[in-house]
Amino acid sequence: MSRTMIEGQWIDAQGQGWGGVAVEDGRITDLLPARDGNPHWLLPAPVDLAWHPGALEGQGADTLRAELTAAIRCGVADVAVEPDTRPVLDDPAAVALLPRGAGMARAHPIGALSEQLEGQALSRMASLKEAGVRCVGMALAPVRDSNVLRRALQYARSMDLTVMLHPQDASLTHGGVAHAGKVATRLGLKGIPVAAETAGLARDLALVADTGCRVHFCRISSARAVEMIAQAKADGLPITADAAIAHLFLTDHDLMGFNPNLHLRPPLRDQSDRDALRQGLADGTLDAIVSQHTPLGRGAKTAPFPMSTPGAATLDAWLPLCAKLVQEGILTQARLHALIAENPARILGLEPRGLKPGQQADCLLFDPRAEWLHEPEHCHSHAGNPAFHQWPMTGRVRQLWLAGQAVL
Amino acid sequence: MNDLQLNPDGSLRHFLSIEGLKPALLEQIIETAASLEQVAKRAVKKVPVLRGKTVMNLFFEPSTRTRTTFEIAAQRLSADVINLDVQTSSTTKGESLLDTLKTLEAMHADMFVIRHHESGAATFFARHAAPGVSVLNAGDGWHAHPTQAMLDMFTIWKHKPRFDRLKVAIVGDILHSRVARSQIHALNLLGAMEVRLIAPQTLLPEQPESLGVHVYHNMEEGLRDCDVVIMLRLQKERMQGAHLPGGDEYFRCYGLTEARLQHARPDCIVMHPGPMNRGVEIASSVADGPQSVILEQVSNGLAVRMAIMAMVLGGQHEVRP
Repeated sequence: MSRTMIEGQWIDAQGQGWGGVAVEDGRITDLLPARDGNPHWLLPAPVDLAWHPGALEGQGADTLRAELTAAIRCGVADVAVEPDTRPVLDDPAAVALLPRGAGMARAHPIGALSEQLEGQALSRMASLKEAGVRCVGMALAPVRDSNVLRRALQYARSMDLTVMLHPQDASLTHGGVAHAGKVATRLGLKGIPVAAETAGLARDLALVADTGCRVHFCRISSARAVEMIAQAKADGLPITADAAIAHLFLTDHDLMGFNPNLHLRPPLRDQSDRDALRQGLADGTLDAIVSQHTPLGRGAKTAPFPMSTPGAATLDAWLPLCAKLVQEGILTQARLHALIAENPARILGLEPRGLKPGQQADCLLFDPRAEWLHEPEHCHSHAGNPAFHQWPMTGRVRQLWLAGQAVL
Repeated sequence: MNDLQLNPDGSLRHFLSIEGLKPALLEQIIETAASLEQVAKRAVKKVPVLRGKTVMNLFFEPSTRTRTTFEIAAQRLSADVINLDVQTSSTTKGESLLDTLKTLEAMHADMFVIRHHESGAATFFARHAAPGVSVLNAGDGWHAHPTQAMLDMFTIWKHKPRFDRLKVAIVGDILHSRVARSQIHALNLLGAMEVRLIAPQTLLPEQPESLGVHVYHNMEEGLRDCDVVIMLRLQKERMQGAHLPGGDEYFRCYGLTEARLQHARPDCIVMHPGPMNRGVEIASSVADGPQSVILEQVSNGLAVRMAIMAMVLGGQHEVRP
C-alpha cells in the first residue's frame, strides 16, 4: 500500500512541534517535521465516553443512526453509549440493538452493572463481555446498597471489566434539580448539595480500595470531589475520572431564567467548581472530557424547569469547546489529545490511540479559526435541547481518517 | 427573566417575579393601589379599566382565598373572569400544560393568572404565551409570589411609609416559601434598612445571606428593635421531612407570643400571609392583638391585585379611578 501524508500541526507533550503524519497500511509510520503556514490542527480521532441516546428501537433507532452520522460530521469517531437506553444494556440482545455501519460513529456499549440499573441483582457481566462490552456502569442511577456495590465491584474485577460510577448519595440527591447554592435559593429550586457527590465518592473510593476493582468516575462536578480524586490517585487506587463539557463552560448562574436545557445531572455548580474541574483536567487529576450528549425529544423540555427531563444535547459544541480550552491557555494540545482521545480509548479498552509511529492512523483535522453560531441550521445533531444554543463557536472539523481512510 | 416580564419601555408585560424590577415600579404599584383603594368605598365598586378584557384564573394548586381576591380584583376592573381549577398529577407532562394554555388562548384570553406547584412555571407559561397575552404569577413552587409580596409592602407602607428606616424580620419556613423570597426582594428594592430571617437552618435555603439578609437562629435576638414582623405558615408535614422535631418544639423556639413580641419595637406591626396555624407559629393573642395587621393584609390584597392587573393589561395612563 502506498504511503500517504496527513498534514496538520500539533505540539507534543515534550514541547516539540510536528507538521503531520506519514501513513502506510493504515498505520502511522513517521511524524512529519513542523512547517510554517498550516493553521490546521491534527489530533488523534476523538473518543467520547458518554452518550445517553435514549430509545434503541422503533423511531429511537432512526434517531440514534442520525445522531451517530452527525457525530462523524462533528469529527467524533467513537462514542460510548451509557446503559440507560431503552431497553437497558443489561443483556447481549440489547447490546445487539446498537446500530453499526459505514458513515456512522462506532457505538461502544457500556453494559449495565446491575439488572435494569436497579442496583440490586448483578447483571450477566460475562455474557455482556462476550457481546463486546469492556466497561459496565450504572449511567446516572445510584447503587443504594453498599453491599451490592461491593459485590458488583468484586465480580466485575473477576471479569476484568472496568466499572463506571456516577458518584452520588441517592438520599442527598433525591428530588433535587439544581446545585444547592445561591441560584437555587433565588429560584426556589430543590438543591443537590456537593455532599451528595462527595459522600457517594467517599463510599465508592472505600470500596475501590477494598476490592481493587478498576473504576472510572463519571461526571465529576465539584471542586471537593476533584481533590478527593487527586488524593485517591496519590494513594495508588486504580481509578480514572471525567468531567462533562457543560460543566466546564456553564455554572448554576446560567439557570437564572429557568432554561430547562440546562437542567442537568449532575447539576451545574458554581464558578469555583467550574474552575477546579478545568484545573483538574490540566493537571492530570481528571482523565477525560465527555460530551454527555443527551438528545431528547421536544416534549422532554416543554415543561417548567423542575418537571423537565434532565440532559442536554452537546454533540456539535463538544470539540470546538474542548479546543477552546487550548485556545484559552487552560490545556496544552498534548493534554487535549490525552483528554479526548488517548485516555478515553484506554478506559474503553479500544486500540491505543495517539499521533505516534506504529499506532493506527485515526486522525482528525481541525480548523481552529472557523467561526460559527450554534444554531440549528449550523448543527449536525437534530436534537432540540442544545446546552449551547446561540453560543458563538470557534473551530470546525475539516477531515477525519480512520485507519488511514478518509471518512469525512 | 426581566426581559421576559418587561416591555421595551420598561412597563410590565407579565408579572412573574419581584427580582430585577426597578424600585420605581414597585412604588408605582403601591401608589396605584392607594388610589384604586378608593373604588371599594364607592356605591358602585367598579372602574372600566379592563372592560372587554378576559382574565383567566388558572390554578394548578388549590387556593380558594388567593383565587377569590384575583377574581374580585378583575371584576372591579370590569374584566370578564373565568376560573379554572386544573386537576393535575405529578406525572402530568409539560406538553399537556402547554396544551391547556393554548386551548384557553384560543378563547381569546388577555391575561392568565397562574398558580402552579413547580418553581419556574409562570416563567414557562410566559415564555410560551402568544403576543398580547400576559401572565400574572399567583405563586410558583418555592420561587415567587409577587402579588402577595406587593400587598405586604402596601400594608407596611400604610403604617410605616419610610422603608429606609425599617428593620423587618421574616420568621419561619423560608426554605419552602415563595412569599418570603418575593418579600425579601421587595423589601431590599424599596430600601429597607435591614431584612432579617429568623429560622433554624433546616428551614433556610443555602447561603441565605446572598439574598441580602441577616440570619438569626434565635427568635429573641432576631426580633430585637424590629419595626415589622412577618410570620410564615408552617406546613405540618415539615415535621415528617426531618426539618423539625415534633411536638411543640417549634412553637417553643419560634412561635410569636406576646412576651417575645416585647423584644421588638413597641409600635412593631405583626403580619402573616395566611392561612395561620394558631398555636403553631403564632399565638392567638398576638394574631388578634393590637399590633396585628393580618386582616388588613387581606383587604389590601384586592387593591394591589387591581393595581397590578391594571398596570399589566390597561397601560399605565389609564390606571386612575
